[in-house]
Amino acid sequence: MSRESLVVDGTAKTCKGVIAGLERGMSDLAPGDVVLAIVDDIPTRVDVYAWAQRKSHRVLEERRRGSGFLFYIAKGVAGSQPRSEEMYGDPVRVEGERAETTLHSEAPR
Amino acid sequence: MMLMVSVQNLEEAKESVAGGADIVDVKNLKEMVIGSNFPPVIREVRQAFPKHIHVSVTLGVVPNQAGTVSLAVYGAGALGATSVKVGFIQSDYPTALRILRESRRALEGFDTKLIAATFADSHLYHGIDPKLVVKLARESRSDGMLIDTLVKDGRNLFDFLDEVTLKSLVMEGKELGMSTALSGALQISNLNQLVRINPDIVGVRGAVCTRGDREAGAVHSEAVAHLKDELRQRLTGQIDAFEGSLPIPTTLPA
Repeated sequence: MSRESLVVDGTAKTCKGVIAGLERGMSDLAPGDVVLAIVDDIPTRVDVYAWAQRKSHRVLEERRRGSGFLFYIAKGVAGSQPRSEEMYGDPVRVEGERAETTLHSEAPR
Repeated sequence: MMLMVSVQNLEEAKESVAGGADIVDVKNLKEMVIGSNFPPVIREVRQAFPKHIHVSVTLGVVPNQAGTVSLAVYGAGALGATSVKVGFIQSDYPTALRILRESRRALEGFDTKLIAATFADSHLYHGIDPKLVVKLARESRSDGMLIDTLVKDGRNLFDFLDEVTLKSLVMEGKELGMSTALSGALQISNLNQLVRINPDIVGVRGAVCTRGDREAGAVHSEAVAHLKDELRQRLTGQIDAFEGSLPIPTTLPA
C-alpha cells in the first residue's frame, strides 16, 4: 500500500507548475496525510522546500529519480511552524536509488 | 519553465518551434510595441502546430472599454488560442478588473486561458501598479498573470522590479493556482535571476532575433535553441543559477 494519499506530478509541460498542484491537492487532505510530489528541475525543488516551510507542511523525505526528484510531504496543521532543521537539515532523508512509484492519482493539468 | 517566444508571423513561429519554444506568442509590433495581430495570422499559426505547442495571443495595451476588449478576447477563443493576454497601462484598478471579468465571461465555452498582464514600467505612463497583477488575476478569476515592460529602450524587467519582489509575486500567483509569466526585454544574462524566481513561463523576443533587434530583426531558430539550452543548463544545475547559495540539501547522490 502506498504511503501517499496523492501524487502531484510536476514534470509535465504545463503552464501551471507543481506548486499550484500541491496547493490544490493539499486543500482536500487532512493534517498528516502525505503527498508525493515529482519535480524535474532545481528551482522547482527550491520552491517546494520554500512552499512547505511557508505553509507549515513537512518534507519527510526526498529522493532522486533519474534526473529529477521525489518529495514526500506531510500536510501540516495550520499555524504550526516546522523547525528550520526539519526543512533543510539532517531530518530530511535523501536516497539515491531510483524510486519505484505507483501513480494512483491524476496528475495536475 | 516554459519558453515563450513572441512572433509576428508564421515564419517566425516556425523558427521558434524549430528552436524549441514551448509557446509562440503572436503579436504585432506595428501596433504599439506589443499590439494585436490579425485573425488570419493567428489562425494560420494555430493551425500550423499540434496542440502541445501553445499559441498565445497578445491584446497588448487595451482600451478602457470592456465591451470592445471582451469581443477581442472572444475572437482569441474562437481562433483556438491557448491563451489570451490582456494588458493594462492607463487603466485604474476597478476598470481593469471589470474588463477582465467581462473577458472571463467572453471565454465561457472556449478552452482558452485568460492572462492578466501589467507592466513593470507603468509608472512612466501613470499606469496601474504592476504589483497588483496577482490581485487583479485572482479577483477576475483569470488563469494566469504576466508582468511585462512597455519601454523597449534597452532597459528591461529588472530595471523596474527587483528579484525579491518578482519572486514574491510569482510564488503568490503559484499558490493561488495561476500560471505565472515574466517578460520584458529579457536576455541570456538575466537567466540566473529568472531561474531563481522560477516563473512557469519566461517570454523573450529580442534575445532570439537576428542582431538582437526585436523590431528590425526576425526570430531565428538557432538563437532560440541557444537560449533554450542555456535555460536547460540552469534548470538542471549544470550551470549554478543560485551561485553557490542553494538553500536546500545539496548532497543528493546520483
